Amino acid sequence: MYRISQVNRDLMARLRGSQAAYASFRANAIVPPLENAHGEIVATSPLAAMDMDGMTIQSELPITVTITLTTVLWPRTAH
Amino acid sequence: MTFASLDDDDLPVEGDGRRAWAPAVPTPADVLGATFAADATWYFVGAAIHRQGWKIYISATVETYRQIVPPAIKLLYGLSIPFKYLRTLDLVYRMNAGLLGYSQIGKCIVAYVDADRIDELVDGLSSVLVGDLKRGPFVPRLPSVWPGANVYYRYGSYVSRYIEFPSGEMADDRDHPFNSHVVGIADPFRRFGGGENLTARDASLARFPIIGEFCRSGKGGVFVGLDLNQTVPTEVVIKLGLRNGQVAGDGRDAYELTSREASVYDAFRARDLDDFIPEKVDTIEDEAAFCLVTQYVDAENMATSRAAGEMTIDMMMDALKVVRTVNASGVVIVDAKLGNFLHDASRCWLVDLESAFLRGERGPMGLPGASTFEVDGLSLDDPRFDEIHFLISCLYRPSDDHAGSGFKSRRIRVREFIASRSDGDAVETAAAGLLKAVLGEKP
Repeated sequence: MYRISQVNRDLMARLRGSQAAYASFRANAIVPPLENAHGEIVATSPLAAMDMDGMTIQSELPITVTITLTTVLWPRTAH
Repeated sequence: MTFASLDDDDLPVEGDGRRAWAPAVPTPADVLGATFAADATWYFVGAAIHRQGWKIYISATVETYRQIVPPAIKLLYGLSIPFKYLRTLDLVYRMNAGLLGYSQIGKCIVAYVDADRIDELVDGLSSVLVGDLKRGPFVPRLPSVWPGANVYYRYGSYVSRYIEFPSGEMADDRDHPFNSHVVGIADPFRRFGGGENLTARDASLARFPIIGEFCRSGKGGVFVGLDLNQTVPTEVVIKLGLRNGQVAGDGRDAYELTSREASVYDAFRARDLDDFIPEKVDTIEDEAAFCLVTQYVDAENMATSRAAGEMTIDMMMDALKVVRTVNASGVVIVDAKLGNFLHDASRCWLVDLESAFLRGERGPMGLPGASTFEVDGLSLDDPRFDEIHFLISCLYRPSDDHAGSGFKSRRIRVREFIASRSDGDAVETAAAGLLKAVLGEKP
């Protein structure tokens, strides 16, 4: 599961619960920059996404990331 | 020197990737003939008179840093502006990767500038930072001095974690550029067109507004957005590959890697491997990033399951089957680690394909560590490569992790590694047995 702020969690619940709310959100979202009457944190560009409040890499680094660069020294002797 | 040419005894103690970036960063004495101070991270020249004020950050990639340092520090020194800069390219790499803190990304050269020197400094930097020297990662949450510049700024303390003002003090928020507003100081950089980054958003992702995130680092991030083309709220995964952020050993940035990953999705589809990957929804390019939009798969990351003790041998075998099927179709995954697999009750998906390539085509393999896989003859062309990588990742434990240590300790001697797992649980025992079998040894 991804990390999501409480206000955006509430937003998702509202959009899922009401076709009208979702239709309104879609209509507003195509106007840059995204203006959101409810104050949700919604990024509509890559740099805005990078600037979003939230976790940092320090709290996020799982072993699954750091093993990306795993290197293997093959034993010199033939197996 | 290539890593393939090294004998074991010659391998550097301090990390393999550092070899490629070994050229020294010039010292202040080299460039300026000036006296300087230093600690393990920085060279310091001059000392700020005031306790707080404007800070300028010049960002650079591992490729451009050594070219940027001489003209930049000459300019700063000539204007009598105190500054510090990173001592090594390894530190530049680690800083840009976010390993020194997310807020520190791109802060390679830091200057402490009085308001009356700002005009001269900006004028000088705009002349110096041209061509390739304009390349550098963004500094998160800070505005650039002028549009598109690899120079960022904020108001903050020079000596502590607090900003002082007549009626008290406040925490110096390093993630926030608007401290100056609080203490009643006008932003002198607005006249250069800077400060727009945080508000002027191009809305290239308006069709897929981002609402949450999986991870974020110096090369970009993986986020969750809403697909507004759908008539019901539908989540999608958006992978952002930034330009000029964390750069691979061969100079490619995440923009290029993510762009290439999009084509790998097409290659999977052409080989009827669609069932093993999320559906590609769209791609979006803008000046800052390449965005790959894919289906959101509501499944558990297998590394997370493994860390929680919830991964079963059956799940591991499902993923291994994916590896073998993909390999049999002529695709080398390269980054076939456990964390790049998702699993639900019935099936398994492979994600993060930026390093994958078609057998017969030489892969991207820009990451320095990967090249050492060629030591003693085992290369990417070896059909066992992905299986070995996957099984090693199944045996990996949190205690093996050395986040923040650069490339140090990322090498694994296979036999010693397997032996160190003799006290493992059922999954580790199974993985170790499979790994031995792949190596041609008696399980």
